[in-house]
Amino acid sequence: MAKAQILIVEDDGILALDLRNRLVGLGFGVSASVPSGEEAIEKVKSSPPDLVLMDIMLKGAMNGIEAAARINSKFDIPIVYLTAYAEEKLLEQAKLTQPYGYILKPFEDRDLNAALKIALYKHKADRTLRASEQCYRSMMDVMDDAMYICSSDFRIEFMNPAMIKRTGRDATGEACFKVLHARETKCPWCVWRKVLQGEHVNYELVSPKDSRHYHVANSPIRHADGSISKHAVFRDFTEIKAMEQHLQRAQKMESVGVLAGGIAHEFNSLLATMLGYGEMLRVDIPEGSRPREYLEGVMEACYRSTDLVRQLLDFARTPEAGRKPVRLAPIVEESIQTLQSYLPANIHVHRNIEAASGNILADSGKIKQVIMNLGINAGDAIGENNGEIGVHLSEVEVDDETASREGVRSGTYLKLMVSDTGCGMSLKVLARIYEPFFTTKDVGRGTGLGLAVVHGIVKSHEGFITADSEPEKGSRFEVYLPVVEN
Amino acid sequence: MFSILIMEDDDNLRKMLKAMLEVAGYKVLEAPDGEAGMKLYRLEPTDLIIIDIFMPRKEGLETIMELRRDYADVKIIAMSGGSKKIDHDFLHQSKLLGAQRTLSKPFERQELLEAIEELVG
Repeated sequence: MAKAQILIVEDDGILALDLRNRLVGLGFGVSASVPSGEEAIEKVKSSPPDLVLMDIMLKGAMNGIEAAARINSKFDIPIVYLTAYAEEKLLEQAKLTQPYGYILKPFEDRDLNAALKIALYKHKADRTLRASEQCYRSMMDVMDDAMYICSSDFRIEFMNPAMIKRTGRDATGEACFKVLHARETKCPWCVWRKVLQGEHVNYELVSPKDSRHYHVANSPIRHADGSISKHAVFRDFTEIKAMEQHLQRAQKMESVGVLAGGIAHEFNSLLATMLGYGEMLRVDIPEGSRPREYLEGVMEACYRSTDLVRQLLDFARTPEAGRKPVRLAPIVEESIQTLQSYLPANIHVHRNIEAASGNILADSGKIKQVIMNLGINAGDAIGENNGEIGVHLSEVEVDDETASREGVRSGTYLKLMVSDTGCGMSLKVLARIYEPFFTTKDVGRGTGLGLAVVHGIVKSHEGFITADSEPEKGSRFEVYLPVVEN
Repeated sequence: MFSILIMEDDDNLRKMLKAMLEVAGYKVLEAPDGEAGMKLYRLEPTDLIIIDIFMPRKEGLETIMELRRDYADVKIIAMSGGSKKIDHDFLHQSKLLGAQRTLSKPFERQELLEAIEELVG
């Protein structure tokens, strides 16, 4: 192993020479020997030693303590003071420069040897510790996940930059529940008790502060004094959660569609039988008789059932036949006119149809049905109050991300937006609106098939539909249909 | 007298159709599926065949293909209660395969009689 190189800073030439001899005798190397603070700084710069042995009282403008302070500010080289004085005041000053040792003259070789070896060893250990700290610190700094450490009395002890970004400030020292979740008291889901017992606890939560979904991993940190801090990492999975829910809904709609299609098929066979026999009975039973009256009641119920099943099938099936390239704008205009005749006078329809819109491959009757169903729902949502329904048609680009989320191809789409200023919907209702037979309307006012049919038709046109709503603030439906080449 | 073969697996519906067509003056033969229907037709060909799309053993579409292959002039009406699988409009397919007319269940008596008239009248 190479000898440790020592820089001697001593203004007394004889003492300096004596020191050099003794160091060499003890097995150290001497990189240089200089008489002043200024020269010491220069030497450290030109050929950095492993340690500086610094006399405190130096001739010239700069004493040893000042020279040590300057060296410390720029270099990571341990300094050991050498002095004949041990005044309290001097020691205090020297302490501020964080020396690795303090040797009082006169000294024995073995004292010098021990002081230098310990200083070199301590410095090496400090350097390793600093490197390790730096390593952990940079891990904390680059972490995308927000992380914090807090004490058992819910005080934040540390926040990484991601957590500082999330909370908007470094809130070290403040109460965790307040800073992280905007709560006035301890969080009901707090796992401190388990963490105190040494357990690692993971859970998922929607933070009341920002309504985002987090996966939180909690671990205990044991301190030397026996106390425990809680280390918690917040992984934001709001987007993944949204995708998951979207996929679940899509799968649910698909299976409901298959089910509805199957049921409708069976019912149609039964209805065909009932209607067929009924029509044959009509031939035999004279009009105006009581049995004929009863028969007409049965037939009426059959017709209504037929209509209901037809709507179910619209939800479930893809009408490949009957689709041709059409311009959407005239269909929308026509539908709005029909819609207005259904709506009471208190509801105003505001339209904004952009002229330059491409063709879509569509069954125009089905598209009218989509607009009518959305429009009638909007009208029902407004009710007897004054309100407005907005119908907006525009051409938009659907990017890859949206396309893959919605299970369609990316490209140019026509966006048909139907909005209203009505009563709006809760998130719970919003999640179920396309399910067949799900309705919030009064008994007899809605079958719960309107939006299911809309969903089915839009899907069968290789498009997608989105809905936004807030209670008391109205709703907005956006239907996207792919533009085709002429 | 014109003769009609009905292939339909729903007994009730088949019986009703038979009664309805007999009242209308047709001779009616019946079979509960495509396989039995084909056997019967080979023994006793009729002027027209009414075929349900979804049947056990031999399905409607397969039966239509076989009939078209073996009897080029056969007159076929396909009927269905809608599609069991999403993304397929079977009636549309049956037309492509050779059924001259299609009927969606439930249909009115008049619709059925008109379709038959059109093909054999």
